[in-house]
Amino acid sequence: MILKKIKSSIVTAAVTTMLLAPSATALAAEYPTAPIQVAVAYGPGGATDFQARIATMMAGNEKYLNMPIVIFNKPGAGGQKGWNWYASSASTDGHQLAAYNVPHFIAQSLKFDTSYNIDNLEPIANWGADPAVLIVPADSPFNSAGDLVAWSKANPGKLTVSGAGLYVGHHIASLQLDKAADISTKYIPAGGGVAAMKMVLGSQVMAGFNNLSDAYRQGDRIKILAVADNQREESFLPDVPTLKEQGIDVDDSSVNFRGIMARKGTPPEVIEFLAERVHLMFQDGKVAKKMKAGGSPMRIMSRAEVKQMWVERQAYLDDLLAGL
Amino acid sequence: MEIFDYIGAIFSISNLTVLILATAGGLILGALPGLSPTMAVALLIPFTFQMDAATGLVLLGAVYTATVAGGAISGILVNIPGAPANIATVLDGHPMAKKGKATQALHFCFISSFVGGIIGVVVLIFFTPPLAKLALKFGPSEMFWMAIVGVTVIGTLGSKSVVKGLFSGVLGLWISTIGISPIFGESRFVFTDHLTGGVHIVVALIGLFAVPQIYQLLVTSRQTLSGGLFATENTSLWSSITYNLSRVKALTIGTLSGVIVGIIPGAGGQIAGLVAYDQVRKFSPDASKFGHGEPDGVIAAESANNAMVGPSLVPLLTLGIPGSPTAAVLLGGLLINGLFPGPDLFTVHAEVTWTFIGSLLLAQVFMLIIGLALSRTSSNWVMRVPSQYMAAAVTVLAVFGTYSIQNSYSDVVLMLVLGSLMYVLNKYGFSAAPIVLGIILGPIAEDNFSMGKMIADVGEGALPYFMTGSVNLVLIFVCLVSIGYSVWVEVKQRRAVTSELKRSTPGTRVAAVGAVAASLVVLTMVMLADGTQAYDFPFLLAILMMLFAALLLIDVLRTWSRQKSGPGLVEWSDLGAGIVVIVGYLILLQTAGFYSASWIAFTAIVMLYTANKNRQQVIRILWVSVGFMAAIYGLFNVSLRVITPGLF
Repeated sequence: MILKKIKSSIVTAAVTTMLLAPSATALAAEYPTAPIQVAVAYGPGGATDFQARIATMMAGNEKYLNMPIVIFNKPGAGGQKGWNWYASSASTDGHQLAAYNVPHFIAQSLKFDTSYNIDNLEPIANWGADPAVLIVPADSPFNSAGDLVAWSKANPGKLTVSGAGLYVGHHIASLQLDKAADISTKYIPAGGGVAAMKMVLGSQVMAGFNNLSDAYRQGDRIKILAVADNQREESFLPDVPTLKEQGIDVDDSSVNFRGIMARKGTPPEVIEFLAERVHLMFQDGKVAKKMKAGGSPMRIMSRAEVKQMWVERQAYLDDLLAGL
Repeated sequence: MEIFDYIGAIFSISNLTVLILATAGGLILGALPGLSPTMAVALLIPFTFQMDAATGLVLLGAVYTATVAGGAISGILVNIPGAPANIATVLDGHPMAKKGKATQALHFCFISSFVGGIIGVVVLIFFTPPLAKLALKFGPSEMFWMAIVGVTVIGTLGSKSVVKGLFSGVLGLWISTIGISPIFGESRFVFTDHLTGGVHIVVALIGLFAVPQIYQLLVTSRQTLSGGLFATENTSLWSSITYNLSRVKALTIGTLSGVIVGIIPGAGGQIAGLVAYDQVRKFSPDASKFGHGEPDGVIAAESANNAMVGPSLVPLLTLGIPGSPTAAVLLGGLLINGLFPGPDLFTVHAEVTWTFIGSLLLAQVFMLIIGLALSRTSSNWVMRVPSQYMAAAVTVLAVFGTYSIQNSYSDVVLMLVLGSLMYVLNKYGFSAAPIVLGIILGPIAEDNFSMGKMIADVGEGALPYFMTGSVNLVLIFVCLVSIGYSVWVEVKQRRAVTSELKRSTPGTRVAAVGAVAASLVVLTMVMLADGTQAYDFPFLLAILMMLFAALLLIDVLRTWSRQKSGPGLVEWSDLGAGIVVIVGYLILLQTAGFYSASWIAFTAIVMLYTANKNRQQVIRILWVSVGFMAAIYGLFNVSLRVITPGLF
């Protein structure tokens, strides 16, 4: 019985492959015809940049895109510069893609006059999710999110919190903290995650929101008070409680989702092809190994899942940012 | 000494092979305009995926060292610094070359780089823990004052007068504010779409240095028959070594400046050379020699920018905070290999880390040997290239180099426009170095001031925040000394120069009126914009520009009637053809492919600027142009995977 089942599933698989293979090959003959460029809206060496390089390193394999992916950087203004360029000037033949960061680009499209928004971009697949964590210098008197909130209540407006820039995940997390705990913190937008981390390490600010992966690597040079997510990060920081656990109602809206997107106007068959192959490519064992080694939490999501996530985030951010 | 435990790994055949290839390749890449160390290291990261951790890092580290030194080659020989780090080297390096001392200048460059580089790595090995603590002391207020120290250097950099230098510097600071403000998210001074992304520092560097040089070469090829760039005298390597090592003061000042700037996160090697150059000039008994081919200028600048490499890794290896843009890319290289900055690097991963650091020391040795070996060959080779060929090659390289930074056609347009303006500004006594320094320092000064002010506003207030603290006080003291010294020198020089000589400087009137007009334009733009916080810094800059322009004008007005209106300074008749080709090139880049457009532009420039062509020469030009484009294709498309729009 079991044997028969296996047999039939093998046959089904073989037939499906045979049916699908010609169409895939036919498409592959037309696309991609050249190496594919992926624009990263942050500088070389940053978390998005180096994760993008790892996530796309297997592209040249014939199982995936059969063409290498070349990363190039267009940093500036918290990502606005690169994404503005992408949504207005990149080619739509599928040879120029971009890396996205949610909630950054959605929040910016709501707050600033940008050429991009979720309607003129097409998600392909998501490779990672980096929650924001609340950190303080190692010698800080704060030992929990509660300590920090209590101090801020006693000293309104005096608590300085650094983050990677304006309307990036860290900023969203700090706005959520303000709202949930009914405090008013002073958010300092630094020129990137590394600069924001440096201000915490050097005690130039009292606290900061930063990427979980970067905070994790700092070890005992900082204290990580809380994770701004719905659940704990089990693989890297199992002992750090979420803000929710500490009675502060902050959900996962600030989690930094990273993935690949295309420009609207890219042919639907190219998007389909990319959505299927890139999703598979992110699941390659070699990618997972390098990501883990670099301390970068992965969360692989398909095009449909990302599409839904974008819409949900947009609705939430519209609400959160309305009063600002 | 733990490092000796890993000597076997450092001297393994595979490691040595990687070191030699990376050093030679890095020297050549560094010499090309546009391929800055940051880009070279970023481009190589994918290749390290296939290597083990130690080899990959050795490759990146060696390329980092070699590109920083390599950028001096094009700077000295063609007056185009390969990277922002090499600007200071050009100030005296190119004048040395013009005097026939190109080989000697290159010798000094590599010997000083070696000395600085070795000491820098030794500092990294021995002083990492205390220096990491110092690096953390630099918060927004300290970084702001650090940038201001840089600004005070501006006035003395290579301009004809301190006031013109200061005006250029402030102009550079203002250029850096174009685009979206990182702190306030507001779009500033974007009056054409090409400016939406702001002015990238390397784009400005190529434009401001390479383009005026292209025009200069074209004029030279019309006005001289031989066509060569400069002659070279024979110098023995030994005399270069003994002279260089005898300049203890220049080497010390250079190395110290490099080490100090290197460990300050974010300041980066881009300003190490300039700070060192300024210091050595101020400590020199005869400052007027600088800018005319003074070896000390090259020695200080090059020892500084290589001394910076080791210390810039201190905050990177201990805290994960890179000390320079290039170190930021190296951080990616570390993380990809699962090496987290921090104490683990020196315990758990000791073998990789010490192999890496040991190889950096060895890389200095290879850089010295290969660099010295290249010195005579490269200067003889460049000397023999006729000006029009050099102009054509620099044009195409500048376009490809600029495009490859962020795959942007707008950057190419900006580069050529800025550069063409710079050619005119050069003629009126303004120079590129202070403008580029302004563009580098602008964001450091503005962002840190804004962040500091935000922190201060909820705390002790701006005045105590910026004016107290030991590091702040030291930096403020350095600023005051630097300004005081510049003023003193200016006053002294004015007394020495006879008034007759001053009056006959051509173009002074035009320069002053132009400066006033430019500052009025900037001030109007600031006033027309909504007066949000984002315009505070540009407003300050506009006022400063007005002030310096007014000083220039007052100076001119006193002697207005007695000034001769000399002949026009810009050689339009010689440049006409070249400008037409460059405009045509820009149009073709967008319509035809990059390679065909470049081939046409290269051929057109050489054809138009070669006098008395016969059939044989025309054939030769065609062969050279095809060969050159093949080399460009091999370098950018095949090796560096830069994808250009259009087919060919």
